Amino acid sequence: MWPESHEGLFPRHPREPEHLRQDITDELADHLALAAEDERAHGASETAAWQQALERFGDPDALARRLWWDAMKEQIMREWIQTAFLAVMAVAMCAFGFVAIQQIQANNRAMLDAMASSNEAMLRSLAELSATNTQMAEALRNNAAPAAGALPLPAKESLVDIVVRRGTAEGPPAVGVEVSFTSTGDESLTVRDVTNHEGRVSFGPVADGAYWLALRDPQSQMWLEGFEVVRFAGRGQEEVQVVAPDQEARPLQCTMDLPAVGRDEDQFFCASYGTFWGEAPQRWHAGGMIMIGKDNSWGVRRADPRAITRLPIPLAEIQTGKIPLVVSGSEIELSDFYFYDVQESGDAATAHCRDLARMTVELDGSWAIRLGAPGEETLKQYTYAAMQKLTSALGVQSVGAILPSLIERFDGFAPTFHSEFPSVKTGYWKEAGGAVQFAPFTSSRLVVFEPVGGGAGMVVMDFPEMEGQKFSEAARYLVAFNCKSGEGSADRILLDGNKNDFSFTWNVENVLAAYALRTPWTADGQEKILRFDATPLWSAGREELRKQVNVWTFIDVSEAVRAGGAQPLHGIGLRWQENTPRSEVRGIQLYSRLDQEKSPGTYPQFVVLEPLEAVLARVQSERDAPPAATPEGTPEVAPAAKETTAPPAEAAIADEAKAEAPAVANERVLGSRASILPAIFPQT
Amino acid sequence: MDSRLLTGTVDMIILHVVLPAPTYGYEITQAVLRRSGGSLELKEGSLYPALHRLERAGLLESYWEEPEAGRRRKFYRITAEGSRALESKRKEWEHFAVGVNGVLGVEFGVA
Repeated sequence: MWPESHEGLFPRHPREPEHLRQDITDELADHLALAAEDERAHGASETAAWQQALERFGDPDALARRLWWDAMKEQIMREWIQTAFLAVMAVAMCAFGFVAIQQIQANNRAMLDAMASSNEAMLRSLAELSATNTQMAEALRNNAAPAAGALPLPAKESLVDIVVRRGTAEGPPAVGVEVSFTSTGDESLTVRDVTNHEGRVSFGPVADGAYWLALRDPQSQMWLEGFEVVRFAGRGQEEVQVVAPDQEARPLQCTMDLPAVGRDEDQFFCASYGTFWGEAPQRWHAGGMIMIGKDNSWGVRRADPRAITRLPIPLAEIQTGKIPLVVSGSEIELSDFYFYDVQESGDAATAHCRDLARMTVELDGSWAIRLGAPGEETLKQYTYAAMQKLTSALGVQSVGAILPSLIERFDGFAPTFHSEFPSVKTGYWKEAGGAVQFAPFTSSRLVVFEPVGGGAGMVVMDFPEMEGQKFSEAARYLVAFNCKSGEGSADRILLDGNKNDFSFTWNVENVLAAYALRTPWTADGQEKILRFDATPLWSAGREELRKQVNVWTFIDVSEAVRAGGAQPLHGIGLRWQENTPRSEVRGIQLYSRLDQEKSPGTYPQFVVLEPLEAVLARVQSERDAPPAATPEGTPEVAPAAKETTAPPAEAAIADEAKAEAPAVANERVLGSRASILPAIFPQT
Repeated sequence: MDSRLLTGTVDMIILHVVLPAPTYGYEITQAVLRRSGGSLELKEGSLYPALHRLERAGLLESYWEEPEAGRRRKFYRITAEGSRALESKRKEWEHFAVGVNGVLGVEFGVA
């Protein structure tokens, strides 16, 4: 019988198919058995039959091994190739590592050589510098002023003389001008001196490079800062000519009638100004502060522009109109307040203390404002790159237009202190029969604050009563916006309730501030409050301000809108016309549908801001005339507004405050502005 | 007969023998011996490597018959691809044989 045993018949391999050996031997054994049976059938004995079958078959062991090899050779060859490849890779990696190590060692040796050479060069330079210093010290001991060429200047240094003359380049020497010379690369490298009887100050030797030159002229109390002086190699001694102002500081005073705002401790006056002399790059600056005393006089003084301030001053605490300003018995350190790049004219405004927390500055500006009463801890300080505007969300009366005239005329100026409050006709667009129609609404109050310079504005308004809308009952003080348009930008802020949710589109380049005021929002008989970050700011009082100065905010009204049910809400948006004179029409738009946002410029304005004179004339005529009938379907004027025929401002405010919810009442105590506005807005 | 004459024709002969019905190694050797009139003897040393090679090439497929008592036996049957290969090899052989017979002046049968 074959095979007697599998042991030793086949080589062993770990990945050999399980039945391979058995299959080979079974097949060959069957063949041998059949051959033997044939032999027996031909008469051979059992032993002879096997013997003859094996002789004809040949070597079954060898054949079995060959078949095993044929089945396994592909697998075995593949493993051999992989093993050989790994071996080659290992050898290659070892070789590469060896070469890399050799290269790194060579690089390290080269770096060490280079560092050694550099150190030697530095030592030589230090030795030369030491020798130069020794020579300079020797010259000083000999009381000999260093002159060009007298000392061997290093090749990369030069001497600089600043010569300051008054009025013109041929004018008399400007004596006593303070000059500082600062490296633009390292501000700690600053040298300072004062011009001598020749108007000259000498610096040097200084290394080549760029320097900032800054001068302060005590005579004119003006500053010249930041024009660049570049020193080149090998120039030796050079001279820089500077022309200083030929005028002296003059006092500037004027008087004014304060607006009918309550002069209590919560009212602040904020102002600043500045002026220039000369042309760039040698343009001198001066600025000062403006303050208000109890005698209604303004005091203006030129000062270090670094100390120019927009200082919120509590009017009730001002004890004198002269400088130094004293508040509550303590002298105010104006140097605590910084503004840079002051314009020739500044803004001034009065503001309620709670509005100080909402004062904002342009993001791209460069100025600082500190909010808080003088002598108290600073509540918040903002510092930016350029002063532009001072804005506030509410209750601010702009007097910025006064200041340019003030600067120009100096003496004898007695402006009337009030701003040109516009009036507003309010309304909104609504859908009716597939068309969009204008529908007026009554607003018991609206305040617009528009800083000098245009381009920015702010509006605070009661949310209109709208027919069939759930928020018609008590929605007030919806939103205050302040946005600045940019070229090509869609200048609007849009609230849209088309899908039972408000969406905000901040497509303005600069959103100076956005505030949703505390707005009672009625839904299902429960008051809902529009939630947004600035809401707490409406809590009056300094302690509250101290905690809640956070003027940059966005509005989240989704919660309120969701609570408002399924009624679609009209949106409100603002659109400001840029570069439009104040005396002309400016506008605010409301949108009723989101899809109208696509072409907001095509919508006519329906909120018209009128000049003050026209407003006052119209208000007076309306006061004299009997009340007009309320148009059908148009909400009535709020009770407080109706009663405002011609009462004293304070009385009207008090009456309104009583009639309003607490949050509303807080807003009413803002002075005469609130008292006349209800009458300004007619029921149209 | 010189066994080298058989070289190159083993695969064709095996495929031809297996074509009609599945069969096994010993029967293939007997069929070749019988059909050749005893002139061709396919040795086991050539047969089984050829069978396994043709199986790996997909021209044949195999299966085992395992009776309840007795030896396992491995049967081979031709695949469709094997049939096409057989037809191709047969044409090559006929072409070759015609050529050789023409050279040798043999028209029919064995010289």
